[in-house]
Amino acid sequence: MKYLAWVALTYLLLALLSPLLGRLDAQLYAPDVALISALYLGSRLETGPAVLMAFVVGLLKDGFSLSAPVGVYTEIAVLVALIGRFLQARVDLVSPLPVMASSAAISLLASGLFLAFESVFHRAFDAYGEVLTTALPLALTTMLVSPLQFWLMERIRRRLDSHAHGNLLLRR
Amino acid sequence: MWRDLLTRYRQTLLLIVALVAPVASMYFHGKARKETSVIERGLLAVTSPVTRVSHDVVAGVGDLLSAYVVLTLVEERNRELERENKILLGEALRSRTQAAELARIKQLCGFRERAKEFETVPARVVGRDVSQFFQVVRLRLDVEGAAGVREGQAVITHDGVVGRIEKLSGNWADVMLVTDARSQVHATVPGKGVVGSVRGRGKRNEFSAQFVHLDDAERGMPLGVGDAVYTTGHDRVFPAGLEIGHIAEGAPTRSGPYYEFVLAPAVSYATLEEVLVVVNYRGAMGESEGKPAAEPSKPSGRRTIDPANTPDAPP
Repeated sequence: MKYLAWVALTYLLLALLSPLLGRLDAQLYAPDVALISALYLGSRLETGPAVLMAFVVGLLKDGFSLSAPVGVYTEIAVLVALIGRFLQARVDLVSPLPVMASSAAISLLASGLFLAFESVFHRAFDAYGEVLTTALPLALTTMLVSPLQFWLMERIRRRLDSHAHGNLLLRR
Repeated sequence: MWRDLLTRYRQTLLLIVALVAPVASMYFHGKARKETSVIERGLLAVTSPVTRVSHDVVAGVGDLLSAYVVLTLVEERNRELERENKILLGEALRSRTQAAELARIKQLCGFRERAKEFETVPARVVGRDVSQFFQVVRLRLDVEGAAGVREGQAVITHDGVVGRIEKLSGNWADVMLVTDARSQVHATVPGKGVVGSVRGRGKRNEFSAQFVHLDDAERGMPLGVGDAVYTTGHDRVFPAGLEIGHIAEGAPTRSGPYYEFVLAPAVSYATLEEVLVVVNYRGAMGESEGKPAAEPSKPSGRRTIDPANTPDAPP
């Protein structure tokens, strides 16, 4: 249930983000909510579920941004989930500051990966300058939004876990 | 055996699929193609409806907020304009009041200059005792700084007679108006050969005058509505030539040799702000009948009827 809620939250944020930032004329500073979700999933779940969920989240992002070949964001999301798994044992991804720092670093890495995948697989790609100039603002906005999104996803997890635990006790 | 292998390496297989499938998709979708792939169609079907809805929602909320901001700004501007409007209205009112006061004072000063035969001191009206029908029956004056004011002295304006000082206490003086039932003023109508006295009726804005013709030869000139009545000065209170009022009703009541007319006052007591108190006046002994001490404001002896000062006018 919580997996579905996490995917729904990411889906909703992706759906709202584009028109909202378009309205505010700030598309270039859109936080990468799919990346934050993938990082959270990697830091909280086992490798199998984390990779599977990141795959779905990445695919959704691919669905919302069809300018890049389908699979670019999916691949990035899966890799970020794996990085999240790696960081989970080394960094405290609960407090806001580590979350922010990790998000910013991973966002920069994701921009690099995006550039690499695009240059390798996308024959018509020529927007290297745009990707390089927006990498830093994107990392900063992602960094600022990440604690809030982590908090939301954590609240969903706690709410649904306690609900499931209550149901289990009632059944016994 | 395959089943055991799948169970054992399930996670590894999943990882390989999750990493390789996107790469394959990138390879496939990165090539120049004309048609939309099945995956792209599926993704479009999943994301397009919600994109449109969210776009509409955001646009609606944005429009609402914009309208709210615009309305707030308009409301704020409106309040500001209302505030400015009140200030300007207040200033305009103050200017009008000051202009009216200035005009009254100029008229009073002009009157004082013309009236050489008697001395006057200015006083300000500070209170009006009104009847239940809003008719002024008594005035209260502030006579601070007005030297020589005593009881019984005449109170006048440039328009005419107001009354006389009945009570005096410190800086305050109460004025008995000429419409008061106890009031009596010696009067004449210039050019008509009549003399008589004006008495108050103590009701509404009116009083009456009883006239007697001085000789039979003058009876050929009857008095009519609008004829102005002036003081003669013979009562030794009011200087001669001040207008008391005008005849408001044409048909007189006869009583012996006297003809009694209904008069309307020359002065509007309800709007009086400043008056003059006649001090140092010793009467008009030896003056001829109807000869004014000051120039009458209507030398023709006939005035235009002021509807506000007629007996039938509403209170």
